[in-house]
Amino acid sequence: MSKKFLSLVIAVFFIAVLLTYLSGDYESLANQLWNLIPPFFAAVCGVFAVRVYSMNNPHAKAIAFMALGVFFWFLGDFIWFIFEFFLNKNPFPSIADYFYLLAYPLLLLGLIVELKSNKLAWTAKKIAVGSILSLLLGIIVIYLGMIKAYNPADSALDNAIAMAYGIGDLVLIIFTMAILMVVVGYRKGKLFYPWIFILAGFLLILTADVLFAIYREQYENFLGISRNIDLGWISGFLFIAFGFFNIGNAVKEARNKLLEND
Amino acid sequence: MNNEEKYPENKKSLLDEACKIVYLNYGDQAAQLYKAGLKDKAEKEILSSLEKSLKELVGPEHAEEQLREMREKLSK
Repeated sequence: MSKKFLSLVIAVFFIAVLLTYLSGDYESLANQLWNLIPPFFAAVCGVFAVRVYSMNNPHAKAIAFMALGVFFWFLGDFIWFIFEFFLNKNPFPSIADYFYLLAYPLLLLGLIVELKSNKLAWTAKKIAVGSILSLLLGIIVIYLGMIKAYNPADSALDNAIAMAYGIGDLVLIIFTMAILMVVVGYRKGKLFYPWIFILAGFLLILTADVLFAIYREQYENFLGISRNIDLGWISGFLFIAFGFFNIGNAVKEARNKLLEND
Repeated sequence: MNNEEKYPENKKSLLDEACKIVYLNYGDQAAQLYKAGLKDKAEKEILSSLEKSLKELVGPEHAEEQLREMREKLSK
């Protein structure tokens, strides 16, 4: 599959989702199926990138952990879907949350392995910029995703799970900003934009998570902002899919070119 | 004597270090094929083609950092 073809598939898919979401029967089973495709697709694109590097490679390990994390998010979405449409039970809290929450350590592990596999010198400027961005986004996540997510009317378990997402997002934000500093070093290289897409994907997903924590009741009843939250998650996963695919593609092209020269 | 003048005496080390860079940035299979294709190459040629390709893939900053580290190892 070429880069242009994948871009076209993603664009068509996203427009189809948008049109569906703007239509009246947003909460129908068929329309909610859309939500399951992007995380699964992102995990598949991750596997493609891992195969290009081959599993022993540190970058491959990093992407494998991230792809596995994204796959766990897909499993969470799938279980959520089953609870909502086949068991007619409220999916929050449920076993789906275990999978959503288990994704965080895997994603973190991926980001840490990626950080360690890069030999970029950490200048004072990079540390300062990374810390300031982490702090700013961290404050937003703590306030909106944790403090505002607390609802005294809910049970302690409901609140603990809702806030656990905030903690996961907070740690993910810090490491995402650290990776951003590494990715800035890829400027003028073919790996720059794919990594930017992955990081932008994470930020979109984290934004949707924070909105979900605030507007959980609206989301569960398909009201108000719920479509935008779903769009945030869907576009986030599509960004990650595009990033993973393009990392694999860029490495494959560069490898072929290098070997041809030899 | 600068580093580049030292390379001819250390071709094996240069090949090993170049292959490590290829392994890290292009994967295991690429490193094996790359090593097999290097036997008859001159040191300067090995370095210049790797540098060019690496800069295209990871950008000048990451590429220079990795090449600098390689040169440091070879000069020891």
